[in-house]
Amino acid sequence: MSTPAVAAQPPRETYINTDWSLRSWLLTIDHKRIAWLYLISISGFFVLGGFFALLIRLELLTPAGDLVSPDTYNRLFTQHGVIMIFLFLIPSIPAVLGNFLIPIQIGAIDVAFPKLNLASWYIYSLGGLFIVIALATGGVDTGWTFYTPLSSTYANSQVMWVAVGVFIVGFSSILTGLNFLVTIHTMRHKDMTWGRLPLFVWASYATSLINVLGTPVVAITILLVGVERMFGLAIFDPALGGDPVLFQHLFWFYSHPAVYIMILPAFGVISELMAGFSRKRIFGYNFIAASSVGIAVLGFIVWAHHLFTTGLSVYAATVFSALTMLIAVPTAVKIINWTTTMYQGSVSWDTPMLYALGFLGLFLVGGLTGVMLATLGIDIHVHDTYFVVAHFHYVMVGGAIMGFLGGLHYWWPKMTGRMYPETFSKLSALLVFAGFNLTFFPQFILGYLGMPRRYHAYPEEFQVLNIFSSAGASILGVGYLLPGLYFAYSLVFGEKAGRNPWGTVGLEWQIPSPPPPHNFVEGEEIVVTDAYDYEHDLIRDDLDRRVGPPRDAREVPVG
Amino acid sequence: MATQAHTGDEHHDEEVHISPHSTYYWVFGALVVLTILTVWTAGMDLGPLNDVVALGIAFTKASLVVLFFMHVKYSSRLIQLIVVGSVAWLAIMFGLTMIDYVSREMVGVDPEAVPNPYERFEMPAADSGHGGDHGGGDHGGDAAHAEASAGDDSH
Amino acid sequence: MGSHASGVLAHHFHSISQQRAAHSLGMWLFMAQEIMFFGGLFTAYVVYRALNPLDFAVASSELDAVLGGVNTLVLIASSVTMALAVKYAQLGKKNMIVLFLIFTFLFASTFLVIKYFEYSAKFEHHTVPGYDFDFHVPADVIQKFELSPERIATMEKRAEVFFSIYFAMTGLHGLHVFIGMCLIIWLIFPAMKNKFNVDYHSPVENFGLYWHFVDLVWIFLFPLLYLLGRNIH
Repeated sequence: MSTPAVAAQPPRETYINTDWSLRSWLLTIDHKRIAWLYLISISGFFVLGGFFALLIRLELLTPAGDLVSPDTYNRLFTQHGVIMIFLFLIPSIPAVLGNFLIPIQIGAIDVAFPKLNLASWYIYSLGGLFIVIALATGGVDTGWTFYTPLSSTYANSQVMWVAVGVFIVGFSSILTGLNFLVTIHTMRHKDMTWGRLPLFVWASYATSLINVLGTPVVAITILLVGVERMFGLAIFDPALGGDPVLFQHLFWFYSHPAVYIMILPAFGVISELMAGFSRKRIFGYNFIAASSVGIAVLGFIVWAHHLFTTGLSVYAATVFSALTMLIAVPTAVKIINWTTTMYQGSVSWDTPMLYALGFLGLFLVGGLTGVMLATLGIDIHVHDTYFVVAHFHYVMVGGAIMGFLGGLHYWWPKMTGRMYPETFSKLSALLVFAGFNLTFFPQFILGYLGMPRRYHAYPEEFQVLNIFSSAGASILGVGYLLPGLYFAYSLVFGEKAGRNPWGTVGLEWQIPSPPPPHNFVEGEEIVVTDAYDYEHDLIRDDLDRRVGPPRDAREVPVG
Repeated sequence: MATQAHTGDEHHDEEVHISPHSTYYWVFGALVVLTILTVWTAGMDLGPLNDVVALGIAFTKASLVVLFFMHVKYSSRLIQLIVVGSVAWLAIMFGLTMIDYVSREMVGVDPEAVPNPYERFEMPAADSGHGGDHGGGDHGGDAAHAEASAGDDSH
Repeated sequence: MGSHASGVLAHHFHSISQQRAAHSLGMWLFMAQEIMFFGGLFTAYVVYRALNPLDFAVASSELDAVLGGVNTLVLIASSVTMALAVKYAQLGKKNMIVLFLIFTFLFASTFLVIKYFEYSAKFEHHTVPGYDFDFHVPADVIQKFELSPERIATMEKRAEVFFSIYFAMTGLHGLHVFIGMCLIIWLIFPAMKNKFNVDYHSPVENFGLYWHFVDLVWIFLFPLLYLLGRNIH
């Protein structure tokens, strides 16, 4: 905003311009640069996973299985799932935004273990490499869940490469989670008490707990599938006396909490956006913080709702159904508090807020259909149909990716020091919202009517809804492509952002954009207050002193 | 570096606790005795109590190692919480998995008396290639999945 | 920031105690991760054991409880020497650190040598799953429990599950022992160069935690795998 003219001064040293060499990027231990390494890798995998989704939707345009063979189709949806879940969604917000923001938001100059942080990225890349090799040598067709005995005995595809890749990537997320937990515990500014932590940090804390406690279980499970496949050990194969349902128990012990690994950081982002763009203290800070940890803990005791139709005992099913519904409580706490935060705030319609509002609607639908699926009777009816696919995508795409994009739009000026074109970014937010609903809402109907998932052909009466879905997917694709273009454009041509382009509160907005190598300007005091404390005198003075009065648009309250 | 005066959590470990040698020796002695005890009791036929005794001894040994060798007795509350928390998480995994297995047989219905639901559907002969139909037999995955769920009735 | 000069304090920490707290917390979280990693295997054990108690006991009686017991004592001894190595690291006594690390290393190698003999016996007795597996229920067990031929057949099949779990658990544990031995060698060099002192001994301390964890796993593996069938014959 009101950055003084810089023409006469030598350029300020930032974490970006301090050293341009490739070596300095690949060997960096700066958490901000590591965030960029992750951003580039996950974007690549997002495009790859999106490509598979595109082929799936193309195939489903017509009832006949005419574009790809059934076997290829199995590989397409498996690879779409494996890439999107393990290589995109799980690292997306924690490894990119979390890496960039957590140290800054708590007032530290880096994470607790910077070298481990870099190692995590290399471990991630190595795991990604294994999965890419699997794709290049024929792909994998077991579904992203690797159910046994299909994966351990019958599948002829590259299961081993993918299993090893997922195993390795798992350790990347364990180590990132461990790093964040230690950072949040030991690296906080002296005034940054637990009750003052931004909610994004709380959400990341809860996510990291799941990473550390859950991910090792899927690692050992995948390892067991591997040794069963390689050496013929009898663990899960019923032909040898094993129990495939045990695989599902162990797999979902991690993989259900894993959906909270994907969505909790998005909750954190949305809390930041709701408070920031309502210019108001968030409603019920304690409840939102506690509900993040509550979801992380509850998330561990609900996993068997994925097993309702696979031979789970009916009594266990009843218990898990009831426990699953409990999850709705902390989630509803969040939704209600976000909505209440907007009440009587001066809500502004900047792009990040558009994503946040989109998130609110889509996640609500995703969450409520989750309660439907937790109900035993309904789950038996819609199990393995497009209803489940739609529910999952409403939560993961409508929730996690909306949160990721919203956060990226919010912190992009901080990460790069540049603004992006507003018109295009708003257009993209609207396209994503519209395209998403057009893609996935018909799938609820399809699923309820009985269209099973994972089939490349379907009866003709489902065609109209499938055409809607495929058409929506192309709009969604454009919506995702746009940010790539205008973000790249903004790097060079974007307007200079200044310290605090949105006029919001948080330690990250008290430092220059992009931040200096050690985050905080030497000798400059930072003001640590309660999170989102817009009424605090110090914060008001500080905002005025550093960035001037807020932008005009902000002074018009909405509603 | 005035702006980066971190503290994080309160650290009580300014003084590192150093146990005397004698602690390590008596813990070692106890572990050896308990190992012999567990072998001895395993040879007796105590019925279900065998497991209780074996696990009781194992937990005692583990607690000795955790408390004295790993110094958890003298560690911060946070680290004690991590130890208790991990064990609690294991208990969640064991417990909630087992509620499935212990109640599998408690259906209250004679499984033989329940008609096989799949008998109601006539499986068409393999006529794949007929695109618009439910064309059976073209999903290798689902055949194996069906087998997966069928396999668990083997115990 | 005087401690920066001594090269012990990393740039992003502001005090030795902060750094020590971070290292210790990090290691303990890693231990939590390890507990859950082995926890998956223990869950598999618990489930199959609960489903097939007699089968597991019969298969377990094939294992050599004497070798298992000796290995338990070896690992306990190594845990004691490791605890003492940590103590000397806390006191900054260079020679004693190296000496007790070497003791620990020797006990660890003894463990693996005994394990090697146990494993090779399995290959000879055809009790390696997936590799020429051929298990026979001992005659006295058949007599004692009056087993029908069908029951004997399922028991021989379940034995393969037991041995699969045995190999998965002891194999993963053995791998941890091996990694631990590599880490000891990696620690001995800085210890000889007198890198560890009263202010800085986190690497030894944290490796100690790892090593005790390896011992802990074995404390449970020994009764759960070796002692089940002691009263069956």
